[in-house]
Amino acid sequence: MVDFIQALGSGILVGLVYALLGLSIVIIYRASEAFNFAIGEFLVIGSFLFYIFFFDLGLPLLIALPLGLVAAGLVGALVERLTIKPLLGRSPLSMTIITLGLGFFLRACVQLIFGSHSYSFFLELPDITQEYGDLLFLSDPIWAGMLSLCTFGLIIFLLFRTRWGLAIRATSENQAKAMAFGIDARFILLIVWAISAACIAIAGIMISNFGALSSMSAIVGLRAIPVVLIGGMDSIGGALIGGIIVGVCESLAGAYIEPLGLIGFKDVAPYLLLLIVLLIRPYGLFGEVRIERV
Amino acid sequence: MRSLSEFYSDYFSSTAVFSYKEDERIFRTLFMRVWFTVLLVFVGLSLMGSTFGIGPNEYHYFIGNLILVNLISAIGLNLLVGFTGLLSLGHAAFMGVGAYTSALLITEYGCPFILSILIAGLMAALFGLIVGIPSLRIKGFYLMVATLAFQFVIEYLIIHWDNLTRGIRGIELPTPHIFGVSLEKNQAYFVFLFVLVVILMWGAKNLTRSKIGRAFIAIRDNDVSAEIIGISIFRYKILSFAISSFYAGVGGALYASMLRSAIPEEYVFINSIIFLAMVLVGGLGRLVGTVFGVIFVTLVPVLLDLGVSYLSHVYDPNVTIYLGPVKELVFGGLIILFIIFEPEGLVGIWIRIRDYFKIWPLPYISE
Repeated sequence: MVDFIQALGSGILVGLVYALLGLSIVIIYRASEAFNFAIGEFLVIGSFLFYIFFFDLGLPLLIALPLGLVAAGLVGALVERLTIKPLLGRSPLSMTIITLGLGFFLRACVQLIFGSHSYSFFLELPDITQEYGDLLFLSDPIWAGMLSLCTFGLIIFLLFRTRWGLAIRATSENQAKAMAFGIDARFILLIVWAISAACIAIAGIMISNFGALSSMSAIVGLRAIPVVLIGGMDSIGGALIGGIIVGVCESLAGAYIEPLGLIGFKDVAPYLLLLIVLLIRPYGLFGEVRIERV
Repeated sequence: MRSLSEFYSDYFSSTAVFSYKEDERIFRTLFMRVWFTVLLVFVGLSLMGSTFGIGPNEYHYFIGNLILVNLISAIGLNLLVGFTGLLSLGHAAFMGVGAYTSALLITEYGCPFILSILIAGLMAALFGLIVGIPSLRIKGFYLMVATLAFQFVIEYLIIHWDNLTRGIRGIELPTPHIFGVSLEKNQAYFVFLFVLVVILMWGAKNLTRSKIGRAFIAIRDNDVSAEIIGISIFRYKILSFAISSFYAGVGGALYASMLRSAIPEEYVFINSIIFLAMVLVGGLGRLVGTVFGVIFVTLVPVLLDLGVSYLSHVYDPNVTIYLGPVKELVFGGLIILFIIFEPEGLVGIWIRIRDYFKIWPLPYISE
């Protein structure tokens, strides 16, 4: 039982980070109908930008973090201007495929600039390790979970309680109508990509803090795909639930199935779960069911 | 000076079809027939030249084999993505299924080479049937990700099912023989592959203009209306998956026997994207386009290799460490540029050039 609660708790903490990754895919999907497959590369780039400010320039965390996020947002905005904007009005699938190419391109850029070796990455956050009897939750995952949850809340506040959020939601609903009401939809798209890139950067920094940072960290981005699909592609709350489900599924698979001799099953378990969910509910748990008309 | 109407009547008489026989030809125009003959003559001449030591060498045939093997798999993917409109990110997994089926049959059961390839294709088709089942309820991105999930499951099985696949060590294969003839040299393998590609290409071409192919296209254009006009969507979607993965399985088996080993790294997720890129760069829904796309995408890394090895000779031997990233950079850049500037692919460029000369001096044709 202790093992179970331990696995559950760690799963939820990691799941919150996945939820943030999921959220950043969902807001892009809602705004521009494109699925961002380059999420892993955004994650690495965001972490490296933060690395430059925090470790190379030695700025204090409270200055380096915002600077890193702004830089990541700028990269996101630049990517949107160069690759997504020319595709406005074309099929959403071509935008999705372009993000696949973008993934290759950005990964190569990172490897050319930073090399493919690992960088040590340690934030020195205050130690808040929790210990209850046999249960042990390490400090880093708790920080990661808390920060991700805070960011998640911040984004929801931004979307549902501010004028900008209203404009973003209106654009997501219907671009043409939003433009008719005087919203600059193209600029909103830019903002959404920037916000999404900044969110991914936060998740990336938290994940790099677990171990080291290298261009191979991009693999974590593949975890965000089942999160979004399980939760439903256009549902913000679904991203949170999906993230927790994927985190728990992964950690339970690691605790109970891998000792049976299935090494590495942890990485496949979310995808198997995803297949099951898609067979039962084709639009994810909370996704909007689309009715097609000819 | 000829009048404009004469140009128009020239154009329309050149496109007219007068008999069923003409309509059923694969190479409809003189132009296509001439080029196909030129291709055959070129291949024949270079094969003859090589036996006397003047034509292409073994390395060139290796590149040729690479192109032909990729072409077989890419045709399959184009049937799925370009004709039926179902996006798949799991094509490399189907190739892996084919490669391992054939490798196990040959090494464990002593199955003849050509039979093992056929069974590999059928086995992959069986997997395709299974993967195709969710396509009834899910489509678009969701289907794309379902195939991605399949890709990861197969990757996992190949690496971790040690008893069967021997894990990351892979399976070594003997030299392929066909009817007692050894295919050890790349040149001999090239001849075998070329014949096979012509047969498979002919099959795909005929498939796309038969009832099945037209059903695929109807489903691609709008699946709801396809169902209304009486096409069983589920059957044809699954059929499309099966045929596509049959081609992938055959391609994978041939690739494994070309490398003389079935190793897991050749059937990973990135390769699925590379195949998708081949089909996209060539042009969706066009078999000729796939040929262009495969040649282009296969040759770009080869040329980069050449360029980098030249640079490392002339300037600095350390240049070679940048080879991997630069390949990915060029590759990703190609996908981005083609989607933004040339969504129709290479075949689109080709059609524009061809039409320009066909209707010259008219600027455009209006009915």
